[in-house]
Amino acid sequence: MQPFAPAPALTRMPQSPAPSLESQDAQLLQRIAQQDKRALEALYSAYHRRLSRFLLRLAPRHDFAEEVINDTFWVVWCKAADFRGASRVSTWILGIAYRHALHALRQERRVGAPAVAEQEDAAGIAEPEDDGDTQDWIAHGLSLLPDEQRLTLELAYFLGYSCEEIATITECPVGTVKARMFHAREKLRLTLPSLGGNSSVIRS
Amino acid sequence: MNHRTAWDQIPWLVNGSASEKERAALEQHLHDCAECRAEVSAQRTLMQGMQTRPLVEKMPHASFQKLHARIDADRGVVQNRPQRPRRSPRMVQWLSAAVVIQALLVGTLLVALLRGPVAVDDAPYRTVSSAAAIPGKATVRAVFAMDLTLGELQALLERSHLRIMDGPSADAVYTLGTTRGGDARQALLTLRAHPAVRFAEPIAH
Repeated sequence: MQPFAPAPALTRMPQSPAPSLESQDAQLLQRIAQQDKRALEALYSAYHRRLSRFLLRLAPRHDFAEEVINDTFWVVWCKAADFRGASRVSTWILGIAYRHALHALRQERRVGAPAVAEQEDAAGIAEPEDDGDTQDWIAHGLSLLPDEQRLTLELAYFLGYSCEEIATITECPVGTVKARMFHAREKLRLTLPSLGGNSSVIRS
Repeated sequence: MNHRTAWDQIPWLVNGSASEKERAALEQHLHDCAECRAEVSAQRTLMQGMQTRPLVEKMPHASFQKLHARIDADRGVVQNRPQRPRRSPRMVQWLSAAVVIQALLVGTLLVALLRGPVAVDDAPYRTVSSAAAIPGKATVRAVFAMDLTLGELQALLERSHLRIMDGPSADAVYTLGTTRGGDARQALLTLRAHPAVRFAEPIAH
């Protein structure tokens, strides 16, 4: 039997804000509540990368990501005074972005999908060659998942949120997050050769 | 911890968000379960692959300027406007001439007014870039870069199938409507793709 050795990577991931960063975010939010635009710009810059990354996974178009980020920070600007600290600032902001992104995407789909030319990174999610690298396969596998499952994985594996935090962000029960994660993992195992497991290994 | 519970717990062990208690229980299970150990390894591969995915990033500054313009447009206040350049003597002469011409035009209008009824009714004011007196409703509010020339603005509006219905306001906001055959959504996308457009938002009806 091969003994299990905990990997050094099993620590809180860097994208998840440390307490000092959380405190900085909270201070910026207080200034934003006083209509301080410099504070808004600072918070905007601090979150732009992780929100872009998160949103581009949902729809690989920079115009979409920019629109959702600006809608998100418009809400932050208008509602900063209402933030009571029931969750971390990052969880609150991610939750706003999540809802706006899904709403925008559903609206777009109702009026018709955008032209292929608009999908800037469309080639990146096409099925890779057999010898394609792991990242290509992962991008392809993720693109086949339903939005909620894909974003659950992104929140957990890129942004480092816990199951409970993802439940807060997505405004759904913890059980739903677990179910989404379970199904996402199962589908990816069937899609990704590098994960090459067999889904029948799970016993109840 | 049974197998199914352990299986569900693996992602939170892998991303480091599991509590100490959960982690200890799961590691105990992993010691005896090869399937879960393989799954931990697979999920680590997935997480590392997701974290190292290259991303073409855009600088946040330009995007933030659009949000800034939106806030200003909403408040009706534009702060930090660039100061107007000092007027040269030649400019003052031209302005003086313009005032004289304006006075002459006002005089001519007054004469015409005294002569009889005027068929102006309630005709709306239209700018030079208005395509025609086409009835329609405003669909977009936009703010353009200060250095956008009139010619460039007209070309952009033609390409977007838009016409100016009102503006610029004191806050430099234009109210635009689609011309006949124009599509409001497509027009909005065309505007937003243009580098000289600081702000473009649909008008809710």
